[in-house]
Amino acid sequence: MLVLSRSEDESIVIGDEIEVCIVRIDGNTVRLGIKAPKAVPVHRKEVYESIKESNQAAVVAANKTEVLPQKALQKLRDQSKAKNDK
Amino acid sequence: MKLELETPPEQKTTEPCSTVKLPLGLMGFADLKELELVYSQEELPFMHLQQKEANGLEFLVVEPYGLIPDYKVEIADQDLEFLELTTPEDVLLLNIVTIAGDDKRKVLVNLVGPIVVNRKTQKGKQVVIANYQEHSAKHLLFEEE
Repeated sequence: MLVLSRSEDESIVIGDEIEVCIVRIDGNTVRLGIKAPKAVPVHRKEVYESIKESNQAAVVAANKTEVLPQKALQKLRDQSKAKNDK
Repeated sequence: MKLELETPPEQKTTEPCSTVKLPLGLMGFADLKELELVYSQEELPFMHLQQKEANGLEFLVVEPYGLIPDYKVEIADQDLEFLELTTPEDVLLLNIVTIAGDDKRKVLVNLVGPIVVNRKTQKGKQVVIANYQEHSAKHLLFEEE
């Protein structure tokens, strides 16, 4: 991994289109400003990882279609029916 | 933009089969650029988001309206720009479902990373909601007793 030292208000550029700026350093927290094209998603890593893991747990091969728990279906239907009847 | 989705903006029925274009894929599945949203009346609220190819991958999804109390979604401006979304009426919101557990099955819903689709253009993106700290990636929708 490339490691660089930067101070407040200094930046690094990644390729032609991405800039990461150190906006503020406050104790253990560094505030970053990121300029990137819209097609480059920027995420907090732990949040990204939790969604990625969730996607990986959720994916099913279409040829062994997940059998839906019938009880869940029934309960959800009853709930929405109760709501509509209100 | 804040979207409060306890009730749909306007009840719009999704076609039983429609295409969702995902230029960026899904998180961890960058190659899934186009999926089909398929549902049948018997399985609602669950729908299938699946590859067109035979033996492709598939996800179970739900629209959160009425299913998840207090689910409010804030979508970041750059995501709205990317999806060319200007009005809540054009938003189709899909949350991915995981069925976990063998004996006592649990139905979990990812509330943090919904797939946001522009109904007019079919362009979609899995986003991290701006208010991600208020919701769980493993919301328990149902648990077998």
